[in-house]
Amino acid sequence: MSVLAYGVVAWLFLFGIYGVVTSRNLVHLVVCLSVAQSATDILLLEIGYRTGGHAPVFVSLSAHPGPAVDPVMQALALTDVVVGAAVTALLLALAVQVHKRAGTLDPDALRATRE
Amino acid sequence: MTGVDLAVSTSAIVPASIAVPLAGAGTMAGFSWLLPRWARDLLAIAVALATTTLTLILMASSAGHPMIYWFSGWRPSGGMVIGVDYAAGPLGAGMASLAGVLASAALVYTWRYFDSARGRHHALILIFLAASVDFCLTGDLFNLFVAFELVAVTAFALTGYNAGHPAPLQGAINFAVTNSLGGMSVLMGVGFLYARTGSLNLAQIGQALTGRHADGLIVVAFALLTGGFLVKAAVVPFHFWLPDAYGSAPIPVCVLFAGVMSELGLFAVIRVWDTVFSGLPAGRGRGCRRCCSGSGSSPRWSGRSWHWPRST
Amino acid sequence: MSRRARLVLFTAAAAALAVTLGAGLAGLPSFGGQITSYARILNELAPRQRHVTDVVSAITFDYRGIDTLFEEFILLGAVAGISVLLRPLSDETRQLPQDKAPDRTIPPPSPAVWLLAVLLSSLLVLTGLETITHGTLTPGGGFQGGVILASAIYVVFLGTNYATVERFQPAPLLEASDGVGASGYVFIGLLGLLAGASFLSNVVGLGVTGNPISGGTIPLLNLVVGVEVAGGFVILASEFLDQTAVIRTRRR
Repeated sequence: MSVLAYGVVAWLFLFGIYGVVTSRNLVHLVVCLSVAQSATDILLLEIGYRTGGHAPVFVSLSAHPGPAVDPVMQALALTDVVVGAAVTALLLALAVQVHKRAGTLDPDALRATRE
Repeated sequence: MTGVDLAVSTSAIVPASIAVPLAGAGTMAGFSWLLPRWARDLLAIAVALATTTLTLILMASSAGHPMIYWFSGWRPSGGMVIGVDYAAGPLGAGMASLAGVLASAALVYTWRYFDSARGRHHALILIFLAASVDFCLTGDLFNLFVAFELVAVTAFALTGYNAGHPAPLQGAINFAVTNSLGGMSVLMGVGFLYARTGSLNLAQIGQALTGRHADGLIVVAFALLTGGFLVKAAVVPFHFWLPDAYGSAPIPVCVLFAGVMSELGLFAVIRVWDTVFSGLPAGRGRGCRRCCSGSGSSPRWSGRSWHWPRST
Repeated sequence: MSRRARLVLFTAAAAALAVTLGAGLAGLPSFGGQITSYARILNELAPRQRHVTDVVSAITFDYRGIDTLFEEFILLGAVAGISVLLRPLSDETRQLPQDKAPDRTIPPPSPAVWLLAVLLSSLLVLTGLETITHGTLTPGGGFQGGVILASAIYVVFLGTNYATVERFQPAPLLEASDGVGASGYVFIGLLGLLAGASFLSNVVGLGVTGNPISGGTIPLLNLVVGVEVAGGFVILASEFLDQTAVIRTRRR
């Protein structure tokens, strides 16, 4: 179970970076970057998980016996999601302007025009 | 930092050093349409100078011993740190003052450089300043990460000012992608350290690791943290984003990058090493250093390989 | 460097990264095992000390409130940056879409689409407000609720047209809401300083657990963050929409 859980993190992160490196479209590149970001979020949440634990929300306690999962990691993951959204939005705005100015979204073609 | 006399401080100067630039930035972002152009410039410069003064006072007051300030009033209870603190030392406060001086200079230089853009540039530079101050003063590892990302986001935003030409835009994209990957690396390192030590406070993690055998998890955490911070510091071999950013950004912004960002990255490496990893047995400590230069560079090579060929 | 050479370099680096990550992940405590004592202490303390039922909210806005202050400014910085990036440049002009034939008006949206837009946007506004105000009780809070609120604008655009949406996006109001949200957080923090405690201390009355108004400054901070996030995302929407609908290259 641990292997699967943590293997997902490594898989997502590596494939996200693979997508960034081999992308042919800036929008696709930004999405791949957010896939890699989600790998780090999943890692945080998995570190905080506890088998048989319920969410750290203490409403109607009698219906939720037992331990709760780690709330600190959830707060950290929330912050990371906001950070990821902000960076994604900025990168997409850059992509919009690049497309308007250079006429293409292909990183390879863009690189060729710079040299 | 064990054995040093750590005085808990209730001085209001510590939170003021970030509250002042943040309040200034919020006002500039939201209400600049109420003020004439000269008032906006003046207000922004005044806020930056005030922040510089506050951090200089901090540098003087913390010369003997670091000042510890607990936010939200959460002092440690039962040996367990619950809240977030600032551990202001002379080195950190000095770096923060440097950031303040450079930000004030950049704001003076923008007096007539940027077109009207409704006060957003002033807000961005002030946020950059506040994040740098937080980065230098904080004693919490996750707060360090958030400050890292805030410095990065404002830097990307300022780099993209020359939106009319594709080359600066591409430079900004390269900069943003590389620094994002660095940030992710730092966050994973933070997660690993938390999993081992159960704390996010730098001093407490250091205490928990002191004298312990540094196994694979600790070494990898150190490699990830250092690799991420070195990307920001643009230390070889993580320096590839630097020509892009400098070539793309307007001159007042380059002042900030050259003087602040690289130094921040190195400062973080030193700080994390000093408070967290220096307590490990010396032999493994050296192993950490060796590992850092080896394994820390490979994530960045993979991230860099997509824009490797560039003649500049 | 050719694409192929880049791929080879990447594979080598990725292999090293995979080994590093693998070593780190292997050293982690087993999945689902014990949680840290920090987490256990907070789970026990938060409902008692802060009269909230959602511990994550208490951590985000109270125990680790200073992190959230900077997180809020990350969003503000990103929105400000996007406004700068997507501003009309020197060779561009803002021109509303116009029908070329002067003798007819743009046909209104079909009644079914319009009705759906009205229903959905009202539902989204209500859900957003509920999520913001109940952040102390159930999962949710300022960030989540603010995004839901802002998405009501997107639905209005989808169901009607640009001219209608523009009416809901007065630039001064949006910027002011962003500014109020951001500086509001700082000022609530300063309240703590004025009361003689630490910055961002919870100095307002705590209330009864289970009520929407409980937790002291936590619902106030939720509100302030919700205002800022909603304003920020509406600005985002208007900037991107302007790029497609309104900003055109100036004809010489």
